[in-house]
Amino acid sequence: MSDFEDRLAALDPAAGASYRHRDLDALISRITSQPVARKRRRWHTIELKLAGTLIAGALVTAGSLAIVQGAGTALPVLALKSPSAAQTFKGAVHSAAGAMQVYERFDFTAGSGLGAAVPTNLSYELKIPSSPASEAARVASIFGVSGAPVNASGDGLDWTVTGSSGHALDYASAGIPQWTFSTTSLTSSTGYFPSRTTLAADVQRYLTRLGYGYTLSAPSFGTTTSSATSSATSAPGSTSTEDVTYSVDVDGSSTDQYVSFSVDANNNVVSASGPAFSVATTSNYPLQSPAAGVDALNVEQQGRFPATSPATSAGGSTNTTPSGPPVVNVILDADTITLETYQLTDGSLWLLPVYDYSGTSVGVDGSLSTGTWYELAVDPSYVHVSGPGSSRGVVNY
Amino acid sequence: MGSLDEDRFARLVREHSSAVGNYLRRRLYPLTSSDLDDIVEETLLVVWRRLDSVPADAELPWMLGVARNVLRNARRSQNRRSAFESTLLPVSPEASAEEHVVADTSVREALAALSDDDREVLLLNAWDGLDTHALGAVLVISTNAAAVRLSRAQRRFRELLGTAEVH
Repeated sequence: MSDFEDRLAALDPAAGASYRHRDLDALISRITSQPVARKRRRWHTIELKLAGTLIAGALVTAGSLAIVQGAGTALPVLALKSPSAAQTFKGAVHSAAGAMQVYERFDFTAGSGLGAAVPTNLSYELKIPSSPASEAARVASIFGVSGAPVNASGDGLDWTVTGSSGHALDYASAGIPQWTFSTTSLTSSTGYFPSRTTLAADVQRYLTRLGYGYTLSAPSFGTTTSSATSSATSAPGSTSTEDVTYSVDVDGSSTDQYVSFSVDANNNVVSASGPAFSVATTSNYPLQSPAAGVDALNVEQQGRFPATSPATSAGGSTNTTPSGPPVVNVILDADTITLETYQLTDGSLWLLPVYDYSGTSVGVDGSLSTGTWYELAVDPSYVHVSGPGSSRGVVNY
Repeated sequence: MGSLDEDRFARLVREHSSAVGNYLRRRLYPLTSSDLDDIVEETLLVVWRRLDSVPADAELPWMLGVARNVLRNARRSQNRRSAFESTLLPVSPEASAEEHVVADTSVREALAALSDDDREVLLLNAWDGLDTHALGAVLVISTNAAAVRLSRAQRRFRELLGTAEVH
């Protein structure tokens, strides 16, 4: 074990005292005595919708049927590869201030701020560079890293180009490929950092040379300072970088992808990273309404816990059910659409529209908190989710 | 004798509840035994409800994935860094006082400076003992991608540890 691994292991909070539940038998009895609400499967295995006419037939995935655009044409069912796809179904992320609450069930209500009309938003099949090695070399040259790409693992997927000056370009091609430029050369912070305008313009120049076609928005700037030994003077000092992170957009919609750059005081790029993709095709899958998405969130919540007494108020109050978790009412009063990455069972990668709901809840301690919940916006009748190693069932929490 | 489901669930609990509890305790330390038992029970309740989704060849990683979601719902992002920093135990008493300070501060700073994703994959390997195949199952990525992420997280941690040391 290496030195840093030893030091990490020494700080393990669970070292020397493995967890043991106080009464496993009672826990097992208590849990297994609870009725299991098996979820009704939402996917339809034999349907292919054509302009309102239901046609029975074999399940056809997007990879095996040519996608034809426009109204009145066939749209194949999106056979999503789970469970990464299903995690977005779950409305999982809830970030909020306030006391930590572990055991609770959310009861969502569609507030007046949600859009009434069913929006439209395109879905995008992505084009990924066909040769990871060639792409790694191409991106490396853009960042001034010369050398032959090396596939250390031998799997043909992940490549590294290492330059002679400590610069390196990593290219990981699992999922949406990610390129990462980094340098191990440390320089002192002796100059003035470039202005944000200059930094933004420099990032745009790199983006143009990369040529993927996506755009950037919502820059978040920051400065990172760390202690180090200057390579120039061998004296202790500090190094600082000016950092910026952008959201990657497609057709004006933000995605779950990011581009980041860090530069030193001499405006040298210290690190940079981003996705390697362009858009292959676009499809106009019907979306469910924002209110229908809220209903789907409630179905998922009810699947987590047994159905108990309903919430008595929609005004943000909280009640406790007699034999279940506290029920926290949440009024979802705003929604936006973002594009999230999904992989189909045929291996193709897509950016699909997802509702980002925001709302306010009142915790059991009376604290107010805002949160964000997510639900796939594509009409569920066009979606089929499959689990790993199983023809049914997904990790759905 | 219980049903097949009950038998399978009982086996999963007996085989993996310690690992699940250790995973949660490492990320919510310090925590009372009672609170930790409650969080473990919430996690296992989900396992019971989704029993037919548990993959036979990746039971523990799947259960850790559920625990991970439990944490995500419970944790507040603005408290994550301070909560994490409070989880670090002091170094071995055999170390010198200087080594106490240096090792604590250096490792603490290096870990805190990592991105959330890097820290997670690093500690899933270093503390929870997951290999790249299990990492892939927990993080829902390929084994190769897990290996790349782990390698990068380790490299980044070493770089940060090196810059955090007092020369």
